[in-house]
Amino acid sequence: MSGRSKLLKVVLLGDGGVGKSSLMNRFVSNKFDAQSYHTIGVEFLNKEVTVNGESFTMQIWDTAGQERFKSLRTPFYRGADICMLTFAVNDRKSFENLPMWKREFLYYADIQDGAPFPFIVVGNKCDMPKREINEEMAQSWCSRNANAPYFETSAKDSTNVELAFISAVSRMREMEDQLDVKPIQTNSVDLSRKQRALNSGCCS
Amino acid sequence: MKSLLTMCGNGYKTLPEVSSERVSIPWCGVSRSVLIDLAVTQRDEGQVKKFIKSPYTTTLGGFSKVTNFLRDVLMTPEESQNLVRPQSEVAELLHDDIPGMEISQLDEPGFEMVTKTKLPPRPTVKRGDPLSSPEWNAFFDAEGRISKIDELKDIIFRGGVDPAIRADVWKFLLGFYDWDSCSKKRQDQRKRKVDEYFRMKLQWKTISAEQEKRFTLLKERRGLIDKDVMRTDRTHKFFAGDKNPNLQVLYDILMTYCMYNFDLGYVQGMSDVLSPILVVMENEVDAFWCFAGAMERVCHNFEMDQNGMKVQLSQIHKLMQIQDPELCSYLEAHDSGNFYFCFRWILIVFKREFHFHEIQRLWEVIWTDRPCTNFHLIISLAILDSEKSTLLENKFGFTEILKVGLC
Repeated sequence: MSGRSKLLKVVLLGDGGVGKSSLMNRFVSNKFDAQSYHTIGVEFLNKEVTVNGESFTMQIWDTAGQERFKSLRTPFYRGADICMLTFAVNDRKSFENLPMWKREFLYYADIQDGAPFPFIVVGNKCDMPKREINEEMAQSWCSRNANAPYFETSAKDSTNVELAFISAVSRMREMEDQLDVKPIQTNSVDLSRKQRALNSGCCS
Repeated sequence: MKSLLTMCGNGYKTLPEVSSERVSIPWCGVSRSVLIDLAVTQRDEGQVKKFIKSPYTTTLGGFSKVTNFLRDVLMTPEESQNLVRPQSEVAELLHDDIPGMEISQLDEPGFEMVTKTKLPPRPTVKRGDPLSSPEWNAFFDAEGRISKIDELKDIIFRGGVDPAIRADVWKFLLGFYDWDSCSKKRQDQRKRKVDEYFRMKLQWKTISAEQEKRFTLLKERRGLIDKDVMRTDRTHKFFAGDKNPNLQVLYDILMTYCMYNFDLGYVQGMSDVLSPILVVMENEVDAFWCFAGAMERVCHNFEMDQNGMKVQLSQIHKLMQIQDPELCSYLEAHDSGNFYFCFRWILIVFKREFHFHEIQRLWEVIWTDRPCTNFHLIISLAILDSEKSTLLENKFGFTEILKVGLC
């Protein structure tokens, strides 16, 4: 195990009330509070994770969803490693706004148009009986958007929350490998890669 | 020697443009000899020479920057236009010798730039007792008119209000009743407000589901309010439990406010402003109008361009440059010079940073507009001051500083 874990900045975006803070709190502290406050400004929490033998500190940034607070939200997009686009499966409007959130993120995170970036799409509140968006609709959007992985989650009953966050890290590492953009830590790159290859071999 | 500003009597005034050194000083009626008197007591001989050579520029060039700047930050534009302020409000801001002040002549030829100043030691302040019911009643004359409004506000500023009379006092603080109204007028005012409220409530109540399909803006606002009402102070007993009828009242008031101020509509954070007011008023109509009064004070925080927020955050920055240059440079050096970490404090006036009963006290103090309309900015500085040692000793970086704002 390497001594220091790499910091990963994860930005959670989506309309107000889709459950961004709840997803974060479920993942970080395994708690759910239906009556918690709506987010004002930005908040963040850290969580240590190990994915395929590599340690990371995920720093999850939770933002206020209302359009009005855009100018105070967007400065925090810079330097993001992962972006989670979230909607609620019982809220059509929140799904329809995904392209807007994606655009806003790319623009303010200053990511070149067309450059690959690890987006993850999360359809939250899958425990709710009345759906407005089914899985096919969401998958279809993802396939048109660089095949972003899609997860249906419920922060309330904990379904797939951990899976979504952990898969986001794997997705990021895959993309890094494909691009061979940058070594994560000097001198330890080769070692950690070997280790990862070994781990994935074990699992499969 | 007294403060220059104290001597000037009529307080802050914007300095006229100066084109020559011969200009008289209409600003305050202080004669040149007085200014020279002021100057010769200064320890720095160089300053004196410079002063005799160009007294106006030397003395006022430097001071005016500080005074103008403090004025702009602490006063609303309307107040700034009314340039004459009572002496009591402006005295003692700057003392004659201003220890720690450094002046640079290099930046602007002919002018001196105050590059560093140190404020005088902080005065000891003692909190008073809350305004009690007998005290409050004693302020009313036979016709039910409040006498000595200023004295009353001073008491509230110093000690707040006894919770038992909050609902009455807040109606004045929040403009539900005029301060100079008599009982008769207040009865009429209240009746009108009741009618007006239900008229506006009916406006959104009578929009059918069919109609709303073609009224996207209202539908969106309804959706947001719906969500936020379920997420506002639910741990407080007044709003606790499913199907709590007070949630409906919160909802109805916010929807009616959309009709009252359709241009602004509903913005997240408004439910936080309303909730403590509703808890105090325990009455829908009273709470609505008091909320509207409270919103009047903070509506610029919620405007689309967010300019009101940006201005206030930069004002905190400017004030801190004077009040605590050390902490200010620390924050600047750690990417926090924009003071975004204070965003929530300002947007909903510290609502989420204090306990419910504390926020009621803090708000009633702020609503007295003493000692200035932007007192909440000073409170922000005070909070940061209390966190200063934690911040510096632990060498907090950008993210930890942001956390300070969320505690």
